[in-house]
Amino acid sequence: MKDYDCNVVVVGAGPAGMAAAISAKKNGAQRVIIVERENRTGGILKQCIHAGFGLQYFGEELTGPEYAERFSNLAKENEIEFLLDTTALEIKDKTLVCVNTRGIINIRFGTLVLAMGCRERTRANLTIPGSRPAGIYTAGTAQKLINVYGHKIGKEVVILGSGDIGMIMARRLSLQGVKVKAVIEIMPYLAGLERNKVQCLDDFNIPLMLSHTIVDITGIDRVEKVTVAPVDENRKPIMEKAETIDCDTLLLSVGLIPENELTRTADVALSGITKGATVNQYKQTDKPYIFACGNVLHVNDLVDHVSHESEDAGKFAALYAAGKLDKGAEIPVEAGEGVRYVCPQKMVCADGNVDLYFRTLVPGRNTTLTVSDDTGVLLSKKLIRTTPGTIEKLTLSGEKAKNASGRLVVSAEHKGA
Amino acid sequence: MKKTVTCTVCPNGCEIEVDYTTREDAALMGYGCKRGIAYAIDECFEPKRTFTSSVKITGSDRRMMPVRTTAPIPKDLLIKAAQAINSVTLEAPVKCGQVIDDDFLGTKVKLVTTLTLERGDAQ
Repeated sequence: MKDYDCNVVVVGAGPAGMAAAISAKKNGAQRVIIVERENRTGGILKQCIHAGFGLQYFGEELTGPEYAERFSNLAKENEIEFLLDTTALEIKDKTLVCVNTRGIINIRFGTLVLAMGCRERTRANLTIPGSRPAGIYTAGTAQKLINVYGHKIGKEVVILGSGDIGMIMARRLSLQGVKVKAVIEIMPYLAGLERNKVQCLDDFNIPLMLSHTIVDITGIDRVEKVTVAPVDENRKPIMEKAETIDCDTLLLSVGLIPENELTRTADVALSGITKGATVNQYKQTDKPYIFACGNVLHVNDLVDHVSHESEDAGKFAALYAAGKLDKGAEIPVEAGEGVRYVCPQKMVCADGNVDLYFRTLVPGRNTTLTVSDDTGVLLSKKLIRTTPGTIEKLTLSGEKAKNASGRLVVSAEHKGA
Repeated sequence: MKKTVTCTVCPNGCEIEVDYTTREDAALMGYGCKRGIAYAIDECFEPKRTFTSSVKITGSDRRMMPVRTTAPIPKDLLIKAAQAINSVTLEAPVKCGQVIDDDFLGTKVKLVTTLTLERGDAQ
């Protein structure tokens, strides 16, 4: 049993954890340790072999493994210590209890950064009726089986959910010569990014069935068919209009759940909407020595955002560990008209620009986004269109943040549908 | 001819209206940047995509090595590209960006690895 002492400990060596650790080091934390349960760094990017990462952060288009490798090289240059093959079990005051093949490891820390990412929603989360044959995968599991292990997963595939991973898998499977028969989405609009519909579905003539869902799965040993029905405006299936699609494989791309079991051991307050911790602009939770970033905080659609956000988390974690982060009074940050959630959920009225990340409720055109406090509108921005599948960002200047009063409300108003 | 192109260069996904008869006289509306102009015109005359996949690798604990083209290739070649790399097997160690083919399918575009992998066990 070996114990460690460090200024900042980070849980998870994915893009969020690595960016946070590097930033903590650059901002004065002497010893920074990352705990990672897998045997490699990179997190989910290891299996995201498609391009499209880094356009904002690096100004060039990278694949997932390339993006991850840049950060793991930076981590090594900055002398970040990695404990790989090590699982974090529990946060006990200012000690992180971990386990690996050597036994239990206690890491005493000044601050801790949560960067554990997400896991996928499964069939059990959706409670789809039917039999329980082989051939049902979450999209990310299928992605790992194909891209990392080189397996084939089926011959005729139906995908439930129009999330990004599902659409990217539709293209991957099509390139493998697998027939993707349909992508089925319960909402009347796309869940993922528009660019993925273009280059993953349209390029391969894969039909997208909006306002539809799967109401039955048939098959004894292997999936034989799924039953698909349109849904009404309350998302209730219209059973009279149901039809079947023959297939041997069903992929589920129906959302991600931040993996916050560890967070709960420290009794950190969680948001009911994002399912992540509630934080201020420093990514600081209600336990001032615990910070959170990346998908464990809220589900992102771009890793570039994750990197920026996590650098903030790492920086302020380092400052707090050094006793240099004064936590002034916080005001609430709320989702107003047309907005599903805003992260951060709280703001310290202090100097320094504040990035507000949020998702709108419904797609629309000619959208005006506004940030107001009790005195009136502080900031507004017009966009040609917005969709809930894309995270929006507004940056409040330090001057305005410092003088904000009452509560901040972020709203979105569409002039067109 | 008129065509609406959803730009895939970056996540903004601009909807670009192209009115054209030839490459030279194409009139564009709705683009957000220069890269969008080039993309939209290509999309009307010769659509291109970056090809990514993975190929077999021996000598490491990871069985597949991710690969990409260093620039977009004609969209019509994607299926052929996927078939062409089935016969490729690499051997660790491999550096990220190592060239597998410097004229992939005669496109003058390189096919390269996208991951550094040491020989033997995980890093």
